[in-house]
Amino acid sequence: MNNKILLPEHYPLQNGSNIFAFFINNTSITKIDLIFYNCYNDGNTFLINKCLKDLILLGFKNHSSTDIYRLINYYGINTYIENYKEYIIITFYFIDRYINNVLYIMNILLSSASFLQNDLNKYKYQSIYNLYNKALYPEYLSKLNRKKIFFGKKTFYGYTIQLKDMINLSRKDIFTYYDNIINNKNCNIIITSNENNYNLVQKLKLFFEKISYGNNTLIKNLIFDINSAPIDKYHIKNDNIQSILSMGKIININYLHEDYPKLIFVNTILGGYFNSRLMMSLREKMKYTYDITSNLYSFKNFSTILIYCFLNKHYTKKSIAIIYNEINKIINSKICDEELNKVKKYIYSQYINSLDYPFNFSNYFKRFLSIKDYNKYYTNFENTINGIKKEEIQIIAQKYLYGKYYEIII
Amino acid sequence: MFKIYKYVLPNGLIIIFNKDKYLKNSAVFNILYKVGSKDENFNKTGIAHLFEHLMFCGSKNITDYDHIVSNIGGINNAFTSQDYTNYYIELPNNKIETAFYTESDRMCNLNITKDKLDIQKKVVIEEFKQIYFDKPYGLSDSIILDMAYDKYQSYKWNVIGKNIDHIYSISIFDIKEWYKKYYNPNNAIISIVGNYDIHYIYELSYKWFNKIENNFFSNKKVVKKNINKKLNVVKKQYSKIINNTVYKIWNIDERLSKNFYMMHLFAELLSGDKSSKLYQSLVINKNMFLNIDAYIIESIDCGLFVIEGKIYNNIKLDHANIVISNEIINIIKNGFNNFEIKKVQNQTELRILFNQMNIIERAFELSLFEMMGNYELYNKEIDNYNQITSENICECAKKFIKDNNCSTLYYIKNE
Repeated sequence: MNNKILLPEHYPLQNGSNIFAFFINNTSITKIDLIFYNCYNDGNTFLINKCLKDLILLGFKNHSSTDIYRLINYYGINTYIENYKEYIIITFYFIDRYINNVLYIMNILLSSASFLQNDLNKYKYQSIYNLYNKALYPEYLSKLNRKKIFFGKKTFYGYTIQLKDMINLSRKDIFTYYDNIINNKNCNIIITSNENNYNLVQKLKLFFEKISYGNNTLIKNLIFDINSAPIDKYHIKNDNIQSILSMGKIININYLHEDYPKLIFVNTILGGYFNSRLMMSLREKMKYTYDITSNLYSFKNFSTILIYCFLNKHYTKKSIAIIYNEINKIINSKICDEELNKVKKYIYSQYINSLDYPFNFSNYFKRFLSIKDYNKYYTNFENTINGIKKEEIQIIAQKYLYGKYYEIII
Repeated sequence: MFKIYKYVLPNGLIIIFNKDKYLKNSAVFNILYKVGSKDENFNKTGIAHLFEHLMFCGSKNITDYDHIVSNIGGINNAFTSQDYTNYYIELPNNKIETAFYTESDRMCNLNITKDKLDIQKKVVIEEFKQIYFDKPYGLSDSIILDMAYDKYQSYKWNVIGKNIDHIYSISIFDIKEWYKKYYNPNNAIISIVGNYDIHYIYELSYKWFNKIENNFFSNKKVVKKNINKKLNVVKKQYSKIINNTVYKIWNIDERLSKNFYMMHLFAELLSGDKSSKLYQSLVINKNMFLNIDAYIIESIDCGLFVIEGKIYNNIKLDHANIVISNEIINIIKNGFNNFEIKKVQNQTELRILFNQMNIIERAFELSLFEMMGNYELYNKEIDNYNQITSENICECAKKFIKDNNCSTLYYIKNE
């Protein structure tokens, strides 16, 4: 087994950006991630974050949005935007031979956006319809309400886009957003390319050194007060055949905490893999669901556990009782050696196998940009996998799973 | 270009091996059975998929399949299509023999009981509800298949089954017959991606599979539909939608035909991105459609070409239908320039290269191409798309885009 986490070469640039380059040996595709931290706490920022994939292409000084779509697609470039509350990532995948064209397009995207009013109007019109359409999907309703209930609707994490936000969105808002966020002082760049592409990376380095975009950097410290999170129950009744259940809680540590890798174990045992306790009890034994998961998410200063499933609606209450029962079992009794070994092997293999996927090095790394000793996290993670004991699982469960959970039923 | 080896055991089991020297930790074992929902009887559907669930419920020597796989740090899953049922395990490379052991045991020693069947029926019914009910447009796929294929074509229903009653009605006898008939070495293709010596893979294959005997089987081929049918327009009303939607469906050729590749690029040219012709015309310029999408429903023997247009509520469906038809005829008449053709070819190349980097995907596709005719075709996919010209596409589109080969579905908001 080769479990070495690959570290990138770091090139700090004079304009404030940083480049991290991974050289890998089995790809003919290059990937560039541009990571921008978010900084505002208002409706417009949420909206623009959410819609950036479309807004970023709404017209440029010398090119219409259609021109740019045409160019991007001509060179087979795949652009992908991940919107997180705390940061956004714009990713470009492309075939190596088109590097010069990619640089030309990136230059236009980053430094000459002009968001044509006609294009924006059209986009808003379509988006309003799309919002209405989305609201009919029970999963979407569940997600919206989950955020509101989980974090409180007035917080940065709990705010959901309102129709009025879309109606009021103006070019000025987008320009302000661009100045503050899509800004080279607020940008980290991760390049993943073939090990023979040293020259390509140098070319990218020169490009990012010269390019200048955005005006200010007004980073607000986004700290969520976890004590402000309400614990609540929420039930939307409808005539659907199934119900959607979300249960969860906020946990006061994030992935930097030494307990976090152990918490990954607890979550995996509960509902993080096919053989999990929730799958065994609610799917294989009771047959109330096709699939149930519990998911652990880490944010800037806290984490969340979310248990999520579609259920036979006649057994929703009974299912909630079973879920609490499974949580209590992990809290109140030690797991057996066999289960511990199985979960250890599962988590270790998931991690180790993922290192054979060339782009995963940058996928992992981008989460850890704020950590100076990136390698240390993985050393801690690997040590936990190898050494965790069943007593520790119980202690961690008692520490973090105990308490009330919010419940949302759609 | 991947280096790929193939050999066949005396009992007919095919093994495809891709040696990947860059894989340091992991490997994939994939096994595809050449049986899918097309092999079902039209009045008892859903067996292929339900059977896939039962394959995880234990065999003579392995009571808990998932437990064994998790215990070596593997992940496994499966999926069923109209044409095949595919199982895979991604696992640490020093544990590959476990995959041979578990797969050989469940190929010949599956332990099927009525209790297990009853549990999985209920799980599958919840899956059925999750996919099709409560969602806007959730039933459109079922209606499209039902409309587009003739009574004698067994692509006519969804893989999970035509309805819940069909799933309920599947008996233990049906399941045992299915197993006996289709889960045999000469109806399966194994593909392995990993950094191994070919001889090691051969030894393991021989050790674990050579003694398994075959039963009789015969796979069904779905006969192509004759063009020339009556005008087929179906209207369905649903309350859980906002925008009325028109679906236009044309029957096309088999997956490996040149026509398939051309129609695939045709779909990309029409609506692959926001600079595409159909999108520009109907969404941007005419402002009639909220969205327009052209895509292919891919089946091995005969697929479908679909255009789906969500219209604004002030537009009449009949009018929208005519506008789509006229626009396509116009596009075919005028053809595409080199820039447009190169654009969709480049996009397709990136997509294929990207998929090939995923070893689970690669292992599955090797089995699939072998099933369709020849595993070597996997390495020729990019060339197949790059050889196509605008003239080829327009000629091909003319052949299929005809009123007498078209079914139309109006998905209407119930006021």
